[in-house]
Amino acid sequence: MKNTLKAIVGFGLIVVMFALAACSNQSATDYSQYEKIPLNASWSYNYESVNELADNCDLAAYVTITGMETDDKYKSYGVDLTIYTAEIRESLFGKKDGTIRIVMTGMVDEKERKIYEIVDDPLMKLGDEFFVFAKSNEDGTYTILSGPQGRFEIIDNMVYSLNVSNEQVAKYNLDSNITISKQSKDDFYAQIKESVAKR
Amino acid sequence: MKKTATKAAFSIVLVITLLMSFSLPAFAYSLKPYRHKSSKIYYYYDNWVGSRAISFFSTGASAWSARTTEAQILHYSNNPGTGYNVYMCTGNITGVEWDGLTQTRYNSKSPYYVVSQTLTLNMAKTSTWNNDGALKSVVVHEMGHVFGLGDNGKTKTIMNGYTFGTNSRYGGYGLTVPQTDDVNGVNAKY
Repeated sequence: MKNTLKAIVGFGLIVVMFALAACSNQSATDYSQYEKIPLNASWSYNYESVNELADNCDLAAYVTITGMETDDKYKSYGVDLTIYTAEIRESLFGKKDGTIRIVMTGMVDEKERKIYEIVDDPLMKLGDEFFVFAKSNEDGTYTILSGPQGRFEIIDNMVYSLNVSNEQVAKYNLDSNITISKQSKDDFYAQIKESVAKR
Repeated sequence: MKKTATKAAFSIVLVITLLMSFSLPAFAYSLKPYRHKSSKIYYYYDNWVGSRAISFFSTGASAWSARTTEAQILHYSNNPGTGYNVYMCTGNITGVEWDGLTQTRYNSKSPYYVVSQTLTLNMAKTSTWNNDGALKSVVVHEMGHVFGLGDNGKTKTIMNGYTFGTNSRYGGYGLTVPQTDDVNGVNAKY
């Protein structure tokens, strides 16, 4: 009887260990091993400056990506979308706090181990933080203005456009009118506030 | 004597460098790793694609054919099967900022031949879709990606990645057909 109990407990432990191993493996997915399917976009509009982004956005905010799900409603047109959930950390214009849903073209196909992404607008990952200029859509989601143009990184209180801070974007997005490198966050925020105040 | 020899050598090097810089072609085009196996690339569309898109697919292909000697994009009119290389379609795709998109699957080993491609025109971007010049500019641009060209910076070429705005392909430079640099890129591929 004791032996049977020991066997059950032992088996249970093994199952739990396998489950934990599987979970930790999932959280540490190495996307560099995934096949990349490149998408090449013709962007509709090349913004001239940060001021023009600020003039045309419905939201200017620093956000953290907290969730993601794929949306295959346009799959028959060769287009996959990912809807990100993002938490607003600091908002300079538009929605003040809470979470928003951001639409991006592309997706990670976990089953096929493939990443479909626009070469100069790489997909976001959980935990990523960006300053975004976005417009609101009819369904309540947001879209970042002109893909990589409306997304900025803040590192050590310095602001960088994505075509400076992100190696992949720097390689493929040579067309953007906006290039920002090491602008102080305070200056960047002041510039946006001044711009949106005039709206 | 030594000074004269040095000056002469310096002058020769300078002249050679100048001659080389004039004679070498200016490579501005950007190339993707992939290419099609054949220089004749066939596109296909389903019968639900509207007449406006069909007309512009044809116009775009002709714009390339008129200027490119080494490769062509042609309409595949037979029953689809596996005989075509590029699937062309349109969609009313909201919540995105692009007016044209090309998805490319290609072999992972050299010479990276294209396995399949889908070119999508976005009807929801009405500033482009309702403007003949802009739409042609986008179709010709995306067909450049079909050949294997990459975006080409803020240059006055069809492979400039933006349709409207300052320094853009159509709104900025008014381009609707491939430029010499674009053609050179295709010819370098095929």
